Amino acid sequence: MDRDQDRIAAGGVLPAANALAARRPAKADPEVGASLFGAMNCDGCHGGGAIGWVGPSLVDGRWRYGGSDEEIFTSIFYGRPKGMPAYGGVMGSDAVWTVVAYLKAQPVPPVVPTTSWLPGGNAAAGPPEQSKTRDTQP
Amino acid sequence: MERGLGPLPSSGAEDQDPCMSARTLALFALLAAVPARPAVAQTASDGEWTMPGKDYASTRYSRLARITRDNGSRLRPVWTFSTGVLAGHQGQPLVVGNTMYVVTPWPNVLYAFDLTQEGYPLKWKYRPDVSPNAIGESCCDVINRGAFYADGKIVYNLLDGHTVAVDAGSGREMWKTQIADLAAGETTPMAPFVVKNRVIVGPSGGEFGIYGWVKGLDLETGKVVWTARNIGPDADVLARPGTFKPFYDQGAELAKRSWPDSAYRTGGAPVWGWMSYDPELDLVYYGVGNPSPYNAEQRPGDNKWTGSVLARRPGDGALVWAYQFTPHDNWDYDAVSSMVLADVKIGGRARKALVTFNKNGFQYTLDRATGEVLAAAPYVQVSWARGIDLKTGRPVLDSTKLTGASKGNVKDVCPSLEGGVSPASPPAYSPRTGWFYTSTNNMCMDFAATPAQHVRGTPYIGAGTPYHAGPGGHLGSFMAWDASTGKKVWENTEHFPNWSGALVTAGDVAFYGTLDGWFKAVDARTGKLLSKFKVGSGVVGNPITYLGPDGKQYVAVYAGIGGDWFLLAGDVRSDDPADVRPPSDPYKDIGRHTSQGGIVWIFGLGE
Repeated sequence: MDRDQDRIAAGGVLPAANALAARRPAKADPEVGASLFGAMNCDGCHGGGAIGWVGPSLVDGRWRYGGSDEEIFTSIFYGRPKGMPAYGGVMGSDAVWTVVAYLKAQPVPPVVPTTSWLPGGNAAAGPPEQSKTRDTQP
Repeated sequence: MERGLGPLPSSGAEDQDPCMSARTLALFALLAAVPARPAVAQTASDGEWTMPGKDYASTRYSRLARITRDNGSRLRPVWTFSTGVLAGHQGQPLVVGNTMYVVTPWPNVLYAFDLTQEGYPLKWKYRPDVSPNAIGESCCDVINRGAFYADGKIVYNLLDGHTVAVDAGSGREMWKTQIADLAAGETTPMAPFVVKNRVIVGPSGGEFGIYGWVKGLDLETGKVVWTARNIGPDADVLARPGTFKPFYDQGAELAKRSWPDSAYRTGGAPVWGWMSYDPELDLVYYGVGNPSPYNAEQRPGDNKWTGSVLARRPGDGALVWAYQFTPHDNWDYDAVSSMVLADVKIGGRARKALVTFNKNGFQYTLDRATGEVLAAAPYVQVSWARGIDLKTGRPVLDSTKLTGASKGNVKDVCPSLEGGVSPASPPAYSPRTGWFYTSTNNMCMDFAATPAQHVRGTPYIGAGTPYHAGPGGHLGSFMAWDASTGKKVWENTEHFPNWSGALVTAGDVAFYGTLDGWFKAVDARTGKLLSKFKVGSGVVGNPITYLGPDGKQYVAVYAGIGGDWFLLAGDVRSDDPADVRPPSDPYKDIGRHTSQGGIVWIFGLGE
């Protein structure tokens, strides 16, 4: 078996195949998504407010595996190879889309590429870049 | 009782004399080069470092005395090696004969360095097949706490739930055994402990609701011989009538009755620290971690044997005694700190003791034959308990510091859940001074528990716990402690929490590293700084010392900030463009002084 394709199944339930082909709910409430983010223990790795803990921040506008709705859905539903569990089996498609709605509703902060300890702090390093979402693959 | 500072009996020391003759040294180097049999390795030849805690008593004390309080200012780096791995470098190297062995954090590479050649080139390296899923099932960085040498094998755990034995000479994999279930949140960063023909191992996962255990493997084959749960029914805990005799607790099914229904099945009780062994009593001692989840209202009862020390027979795993430091833990006070076996005078009488610096802020001295608490004193600021009742062995609680989802945010609990000292940072004990040497954290926390839902293979926590500095404003220290009086002897405060293990030698030098990347040698009797060097990254590993093939004494330590500091330090990471974090309280400045990076350092005396 190709180990990199192997995922941990959250709750011990394997996710269904072809989930992206299935119907996407017409409305997904970000507030419900926020409570699911806590109830499904997402905050245990990604931190309260998804600001990053042992797992990466999900609100900095930077994404390892892509930041489109479909890519985030795929990350949650099927998991990722560095130990992100596959939640599709235990949550189902609609609940995962609801968490996607929560994450995408978070404001992306301005990118400040410089941390400065000079007098004046980060301001001394010049104006921040414009706020944006970027995909990165480390 | 105060201990004097005068010269102590040699107790058969092989190298207490700094003026040891060249001939003796040459002979010693020759002996050290001969592959050791188990009995030799496990009595720990002074020139070597063959197990995590130096000896079965986990003293981290070396009888080497060529580096002294008089010449320690001449300590200089003589060699470095980048491990190529950025995660937290906990644990310590081993030196067996003329080879140094280094295990990295995940992906758990094992390096074997030839100390007889200039530049210490590799003899070989071992690249195990280890699952990347272990990264996401680890609560607190992908650390490893080291290897154990026994019977010609380097034995260590891979993070993904396997134990391996590698031929110490050739690097060939001799066996590999699955011991843990990654999909259940079990990972395995702890260092195995080998007694006779048993390899004893346990899992992490107190933040994932595991059903905690230890296992005894056969050293020759790697086959699992026994499995003992730390919580649950007597039959699974291996608590047998007639054999299991806890000092304070009476009755059967203690580790089942102290939980609601079957909550023990997701009750945590991990084993991620260190083990000790008393050959006369034939008892292995180890600490058990926290109960799951952190929200204590989901698990009324004492939750035995979480937050406890357990004494077992290595041969069959039978439980002989157990003592619970923190019943019904409300604060994530794992009890997995090193259990140091030493003779300690209590009330004027020398006792065969077990000494531990618990995360809960108390230093405990136990009778290691029975589990009776002989003394317990706070070694850092403590607010959750007023003391330990020696008659019952139980803490006297401050009810205002009890936590739970219904209690909201409970303020100013000291120490923080990082512990008065992290169990990852083991102490040292010098029979010459009679004192213990340990890092400390001077931190308190607010604790807001919330209901938690168990979803297999995901975190099971239920609490937010921001930290702040304790009294004095500094965040850590390194100190000498007298267990016979329950008092601090001297203390060097450090700006940041102190996270390295301790080493002390017959030269009366103590060694430690700091989170902002200094490696320090101090006078073990006074704490006076002898030398310091900036080692490139914060130190969360444990220094060791050994005799090189040239007859000189060396000190080795890892640099490489991480472990909990991967989570807490916020901005010390530079390798992942998808993960940029602001500085975090209360150590905003740490990113100014260090970033990630694994480096092996060796120090020796300069001219």
